[in-house]
This record gives sequence, C-alpha cells and structure tokens, in this order.
Amino acid sequence: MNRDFVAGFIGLLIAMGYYAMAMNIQNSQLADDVGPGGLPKIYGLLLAGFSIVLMLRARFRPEPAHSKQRPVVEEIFAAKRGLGILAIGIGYILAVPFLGYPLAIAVVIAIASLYNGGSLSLRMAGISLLGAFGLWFVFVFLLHIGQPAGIWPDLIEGLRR
Amino acid sequence: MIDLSGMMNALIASPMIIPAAFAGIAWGILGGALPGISPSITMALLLPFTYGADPTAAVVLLASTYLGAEYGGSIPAILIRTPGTNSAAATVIDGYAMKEQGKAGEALGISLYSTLLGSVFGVALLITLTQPLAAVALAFQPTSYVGLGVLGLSVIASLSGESLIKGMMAGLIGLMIATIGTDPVTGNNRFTFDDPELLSGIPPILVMVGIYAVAELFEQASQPGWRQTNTADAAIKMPDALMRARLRVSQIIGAIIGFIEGLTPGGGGTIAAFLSYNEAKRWSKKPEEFGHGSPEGIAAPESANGAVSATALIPMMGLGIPGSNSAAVLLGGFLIHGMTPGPMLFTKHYDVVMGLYAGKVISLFALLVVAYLILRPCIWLVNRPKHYLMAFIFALVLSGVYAIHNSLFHVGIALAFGVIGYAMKYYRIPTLPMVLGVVLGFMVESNYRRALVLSDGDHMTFVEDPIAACLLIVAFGFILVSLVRHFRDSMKSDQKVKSA
Repeated sequence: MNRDFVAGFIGLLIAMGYYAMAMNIQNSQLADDVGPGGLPKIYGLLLAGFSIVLMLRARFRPEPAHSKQRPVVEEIFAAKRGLGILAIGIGYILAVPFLGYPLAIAVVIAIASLYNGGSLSLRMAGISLLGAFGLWFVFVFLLHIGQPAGIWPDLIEGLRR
Repeated sequence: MIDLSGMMNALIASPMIIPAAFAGIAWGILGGALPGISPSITMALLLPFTYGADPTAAVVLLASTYLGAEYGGSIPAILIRTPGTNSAAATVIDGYAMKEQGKAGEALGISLYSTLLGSVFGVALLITLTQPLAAVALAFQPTSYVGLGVLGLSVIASLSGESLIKGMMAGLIGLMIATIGTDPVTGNNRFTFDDPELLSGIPPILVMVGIYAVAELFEQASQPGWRQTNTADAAIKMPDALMRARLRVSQIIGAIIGFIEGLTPGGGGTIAAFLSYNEAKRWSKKPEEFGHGSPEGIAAPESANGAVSATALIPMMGLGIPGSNSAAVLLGGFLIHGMTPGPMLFTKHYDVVMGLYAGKVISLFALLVVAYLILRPCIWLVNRPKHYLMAFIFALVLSGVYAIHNSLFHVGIALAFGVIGYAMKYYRIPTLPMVLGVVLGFMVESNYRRALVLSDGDHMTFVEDPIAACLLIVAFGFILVSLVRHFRDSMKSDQKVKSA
C-alpha cells in the first residue's frame, strides 16, 4: 500500500464526513436556489471522486522512482520529533492563561530551543528572556495588541488589598 | 496628465510628507513582516495618530504603510517560510527555496527590486489615469466576481505539481475550509460545531501560517540534520544586469496583472500574486525551476504586489469605493479629515491629492532606503544558531496568530494546520492549491449565489455579463492549456518509468 493510496483513502474519509455534515445543514426560508448546503455537497462529491481516482491510480500504476520511502523506523522517529514541537505549542495554549504572555513565551523559547538541540545555560536563559521581551515590546507595547496577562494582575490586586 | 508643479507645491506646503512617507514605510514593513498582522491592521493602528496631523501627511502616512506592509510580508516568507501577509503566500515557494540554497540575500534583493518596479508602474498609473480608470470598478457585478474567482482558481491546475489529482483534492479541501462559518446568503451556520469562534470562518492567514511556518518547524525538528546551522548569505544582493534581463518578462506580467487586480474591487494582491506566478511560469524559459528556487517565481508575485498597492487606490480615490480592507482604512483616513473620496476629491482637495501623489513617489525611495536598513539585521537574525532561530520563529508564530482575533483557539487551529501541512508534505500533496481555495472560496460562493438570486436562478447571467464571460473564457483557456501540458508531461514520465 503506497502513500498515494493512503492519501486517497484519507481524502475519501474527509469527503464522506464533510458530505454527511453538508446534508445536515438546515435550510432557511430565505434560502436561494443553491442553498447553504448546495456547494458543500458538490465539493464533497468531487473530493470523493478525485480520492477514488487517486486510489485506483495508486493501485494500478507504478510509483515513480523518486518516491522511495525512508525506512519505517526512521519515519516514526521523524514524526515523533515533529510532534514534540506540537506538544510545546499545546503546552503554551494551556499555560499562557495562567503564566501570562511574557513568561509563557519565554518558556516556549527556552523549551523549543532545548528541544532543537540547544544546551541549558545562562546564555540560553538570557536569550529566552530577551526574545520574550522583544516580542512583548513589539506586540503589546508598540502595536497595543493585548496578549494574555495571566494570573498576575489578580494576584497583585489581591496583595494590595 | 502629470501635474509636477502641483506635486511640488503640495510638497512645499506640507513638508511633513517626506517624514510621513519614511515612517509609513518603516511601520508598514514591521507590520507586514509580523505573521497575523495584515496591512489593513497595520494601517488601522496608525489611524488614531493621524487625527491631529496635517491631512496630506496623514494620508501619505497611511498609503506608505500600505506599500511597506505589502513588501514586508515577503521578508518572513523568504527567510522563515512564514508569509507575513496573504499576498506573500506565492513568494514563499521560490523565496524560501532560494534561502535554503544559501541565496537569501539574492532572494530579498529580487523581492525588493521587483516590488519597487511594480510600485513605480502602479504609481505612474495612479498619477496619470486615476479618474478615467476608476470607472472600471463600477462595471463589476457579482457575476464578474465569480469570473474573477474562477480565474484565480484556474491556477490550481498548473500549481498542482506532479499530480493534478492531488492538486484538485487540495484545492477542494481549501474550498471546503472556506465554507466553515456563517452562510453568506442565509446566515445559517455551517460546519461550526456550535462553536462561536468558528462563526466568522477560518481566516486564510491561519491556514497559511499553519501549513507553511508551523509545518516547516515540524519538518525541521524531524530532520536528521536539524542541528546544522543556516548558510544564508549575509547581505542583500540586488540583481545584476543578467538577472535583471531574466526577470523582465515576469516583472512585466506581475505589474500588468497587479494593475488589473488593483483596479478590481475585491481582487486584491493575493489573486494577483498567484495569477502572476502562474503566468510567469508559463512564459518562463526555465519553467522547471519554479518551485525549486526560481528568481522569476519571486519577481512576478512581488511586482504584482507592488502594483496593487498603488492601483488599489484608484477606485478608492476616483469613486470612493474601497476595493480592499487596506483601501477602506485609507478611506477612513480621508474621512477623518473631512474629505470624501470620489470624483469631487480632485476639485475640492486637489492639493491633498497632489500631496498624496508626491508622497507615493517619495515612498518608493523610502522603501529602498528603509528596506536596505532593515534587511541586514533580518538576515543576521536568520543566521543565528538554528535552535534559537527555530524557537524564536515558533514564539513569533504563536504571538502573531493570537494577535489576529486575540484568540487562543486560533493558535490551536494554526497548530492543527501545521499537522495538516506536515501530513500533506508526507503524502506529497501540493499546499498552494489549498491556500488558493481558502482565499477564493468565500468570494466565489457568495457572489455566485448572489448573482443567481439577482437573475432568478438563471445561469445565463454569467454569459450575459461581458466581464464575467471574458474572465470565464480566459479561466477555461488556462485550465485547458494546463491539462494538455499536464497529460503530456504525465505520459512522458510514464514512458520513462516503463523504460527504466
């Protein structure tokens, strides 16, 4: 089973799920001839069609020479390493409402740097803090774009009282 | 006709035009280079500062910011595979490929040179032809927008790379993503899973940042050689005579398409960039280099972006019709100072119009100067040790994506698209058709259905509107040529495989 076949199969699953959801879109009395579900249904059918063609082609056509895959163990290792970055991102989403933007982004820089081969040192800590300050300066101070403040404003307010 | 003395008089009367042009360019480049901060947001952030300013300097500041932001988007696109703006998505492909070949300085030089040429062309048309050309905007109806959208989507066929089927699948998935949110005609919710955050749909920039920047970070982390440092050249390198000659055709294509799209309300830089990329590939003597670091692949979309940033002001100034969000913010800048854009602007506020023209000319010089100053530290930054660079890019992406709607949900969506982009790369599915589908999907659907409502469901309306008919004929022509070329190439590669 080559990659194209799997890609076609995934495409078919997406098309089926999407089409099923498109069928359930409620029509309004204001609806035009096409309706809110009209084009989505066509998109779903077309994607299903192309996915089936891709699967059939993958089944009956030789794979080009340049598409030789890496060994499975290597692929799994690569995907795992990539997913580590995703985990750092998810960790940021969970932590930033509590830690606040400057601290959370400094932690992201430090952890992502360590994860990508950096070594734990004072220099790395300094660069993480400097990077976080730079981003805070541009986004919050300069552009006035609010970023999560974390628990700190409430904590400071509580201490004042 | 060019009124040089009028422009000079405006410059003498409002000397603040010069610093306003420089400040606008610098601010625009900064905003455009930050993923998530669109040109219109960059301009809108300046609006409060223009209240007390001289009206001419205020509109010059905003118009220069627009140009700076359109250019700024290409810097992270080339250096870190993160399009700063929607219209920089086409620049990512060959710009980042050149950077990976150690030609970052050359790629940035081509981008700057092409943006400048496109802008010069656009500014010249803005100054000479605003009043007569503005009428084009009035001729656009929903049917014409459908034609324009289909023309944009027709590019999918030639952006599909080795597999047309996979390109079509990616394009369809993009169109599907564009249907998420509130239905444009009835207001029904579609594919929102009752989540209020999805009611306004998924902003295209989230998809781009996800499938380009985040997926690249995943890819870099998963590479066995990820500890290597970057090898980008250290200085910006403007194209030499030989390169300039090579880029000429693609720049002309980009400038012309950018000019047309700028005149078209709703057309915008993104469609212009993709169409010009496609046409530059078609007319290139080395089409096989596209996607692998072709200088023409940077020149065409960048000159289109440069031209759009000037010609988008034509319908706004001539008719008071803002064709894009950025033009709408500029229109707001005029209104704040008691000036109403439209035909009367040229009689009632002639001095301001001349001042704006003079400011646009100065902003071209400002772009050259400021870009030279900014690019060197940018190149220095991307040559830092790779683990720091990747960590900083990730932090920048997380911050920029949050800034779009102050939403952590959007950060999650961008990460999800990172996974999708990574998977697409693994399965060798081209990402550009998906981006095109996301960008154009809403425009095509909403106008298609509006046109049918207006014509009582009669599809002949698309043929009866001459603009729509012309655009659709050109689009089908594009598709046909791409299909013929694709099947020819496909048969050749089949024969090679069999003989091997």
